[in-house]
Amino acid sequence: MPVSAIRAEGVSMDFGSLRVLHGINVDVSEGEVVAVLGPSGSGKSTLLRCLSWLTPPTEGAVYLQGERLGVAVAPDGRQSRLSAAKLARQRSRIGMVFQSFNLWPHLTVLGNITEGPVQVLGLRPGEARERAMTILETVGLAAKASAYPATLSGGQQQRVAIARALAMQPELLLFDEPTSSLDPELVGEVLDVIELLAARRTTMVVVTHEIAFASEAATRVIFMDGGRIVEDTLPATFFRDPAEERSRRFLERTLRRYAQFGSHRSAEG
Amino acid sequence: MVDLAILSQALPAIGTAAVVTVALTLAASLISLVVGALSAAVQLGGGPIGYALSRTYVSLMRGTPLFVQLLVVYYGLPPIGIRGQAFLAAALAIGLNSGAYTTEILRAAILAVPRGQLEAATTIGLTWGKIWRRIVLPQAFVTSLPMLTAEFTIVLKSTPLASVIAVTEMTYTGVLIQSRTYSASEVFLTIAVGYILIAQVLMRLSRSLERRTRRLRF
Amino acid sequence: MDWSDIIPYLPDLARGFLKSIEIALLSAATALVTALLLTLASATGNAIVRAIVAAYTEIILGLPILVLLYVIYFVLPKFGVRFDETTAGVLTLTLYYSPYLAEAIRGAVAAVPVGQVEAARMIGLGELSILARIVVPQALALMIPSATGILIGLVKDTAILSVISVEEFAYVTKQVVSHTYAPFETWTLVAAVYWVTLALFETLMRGLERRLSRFRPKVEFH
Repeated sequence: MPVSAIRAEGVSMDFGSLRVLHGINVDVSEGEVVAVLGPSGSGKSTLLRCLSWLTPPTEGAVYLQGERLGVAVAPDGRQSRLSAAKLARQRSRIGMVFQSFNLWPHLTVLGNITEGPVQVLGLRPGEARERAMTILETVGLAAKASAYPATLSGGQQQRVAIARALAMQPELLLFDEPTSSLDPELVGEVLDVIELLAARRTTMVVVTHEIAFASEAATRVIFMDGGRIVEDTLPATFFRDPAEERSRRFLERTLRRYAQFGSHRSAEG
Repeated sequence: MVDLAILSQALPAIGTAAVVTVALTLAASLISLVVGALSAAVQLGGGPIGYALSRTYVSLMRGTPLFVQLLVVYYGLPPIGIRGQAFLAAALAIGLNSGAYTTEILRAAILAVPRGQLEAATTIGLTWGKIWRRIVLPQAFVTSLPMLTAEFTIVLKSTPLASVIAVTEMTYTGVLIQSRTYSASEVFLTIAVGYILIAQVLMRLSRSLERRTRRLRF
Repeated sequence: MDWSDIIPYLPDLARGFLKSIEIALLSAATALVTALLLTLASATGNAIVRAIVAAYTEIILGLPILVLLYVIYFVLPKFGVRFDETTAGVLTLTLYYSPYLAEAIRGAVAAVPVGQVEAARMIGLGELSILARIVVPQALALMIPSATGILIGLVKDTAILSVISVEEFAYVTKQVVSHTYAPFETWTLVAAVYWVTLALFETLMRGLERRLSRFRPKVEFH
């Protein structure tokens, strides 16, 4: 029986009178690399924000390693909001990478990466620096340790953001369209890093438009449409023989565009 | 604490003074607008000398207290043959002071017109004069309207300073009544409410213009 | 009229100038603290607290500072609240300028992208740490331009305190003028001193802004 890394139970999300997620159930086991696909507005990013409790869902529960996220459950079953400190502690176990990087511009690359380990995990600054440098080697940016984010390209900034998340040694990583705000020629360097992590069996949920990444690096594909999970299957099955009409149409549209303009991956040869 | 009898006696005088306050606000705003438009034009299209002149004017007006400017103008007018014109001195000083801020507002609004539009206008053969009159200024005027109205609220709030050169606007009238009747609370609270009411009219106008011009943004 | 008539009065003018600086520094400090409290109150307070702050701001936006000064100096004593001239002056400057400074603080904090705060939350930083380590360092640099403009206004408005006989620069100048009978020359000289002082202040603040935002490169990377 695989160990559940993160699990959503009946997660629904309303924005005003609009329901953008309809009772989502999903269970991600340790070592899985889940690609979440779907058209714009299908609820993929909202689901990710619910999984990280940045946007607490209107209904439903999320469990991190079996532990209820953001909600304290008393022995008598009564539920209340988890204290801010405890919620912060839970979130530190989830790594999140945003579409717009969200690096802290007033800190150097090293400062961005050591902030969490020093302030939250209580590492000594020297220890944190060592850990950060090792990770920077992995993402290929050791030379930029003392640079400020604004001097980096988008691809470099996103790799720093991944390094920042990794430095917390999280139990899983959530990626919210990590390559969507990058120039086409910079997408490859970021996907390379994510694929490297996938190869190391890091537990990941990746919301993405990158079909090639989903088919090559993911171990599981979730296709969402209209705030519901339409298909949840193996990449091979999804791409070769999608069960649902909606998935088929999405794939046709995407692959046609893909054939026309080529993969981002081909840009780096 | 508040004597209504005194208040009812003082109200007609305060009302008359309120008219002076509004007149002073209008006169100073008009001067501000004319001077500001000239200064902005000279700064953007007047070569290095025009630029330096306009910048110095702006810096001087923003870098010294209006209180001091008022006295310089008031004492500077008699030597050039203008005597006993406190209202004129006040309107000039407040208008010239505000003109510096109007310069900045108009300058920003003019620079906010995208350069591509000017290039497009030249390619269809419009002359520079026509580009200014038909493309740049109409847009700059609309975008700057809310800011200008806000600036005129500040002009209104500057007019009490005219009391130091004995212009009988609202605040000076208040001081006069207070020194005669010792009824500070009645008088000053009333004129405070008077200013807030007039300012509310201007601020609401500014906000509604802001909403409208946002929809109108070309 | 001769400019040299002013020379004997230069020490008096200098004393008034220093008094103005003293009042300006004190008022700026109290106004900044009050502004911070107003910002916190409207950000974290309940509906009633927020409504009070909003009403206070709206009143100050429409009230001339000279009228506020008269209310504090002439009206409050009728209700048993009495201040000496300098205290009334500092109080007026504080009450008048704190809502403007609060708006500058609010604007600067709002200019820090919310995504940066979310990234900090995901790292597990507490809300106070996020404020102190992520938001404030950036907001400080962001608020300097608007705060500088507001503080220049505060310095200039110290001159208004002369109407209640606070012995600051403008008040001393009025006294000197009554001896020299050279109002135009004296006021021009005083204007020049204000101008140079405020230009210096503006340069200092620009330098501070550059220091605080040295993480922003001058040339954008593409």
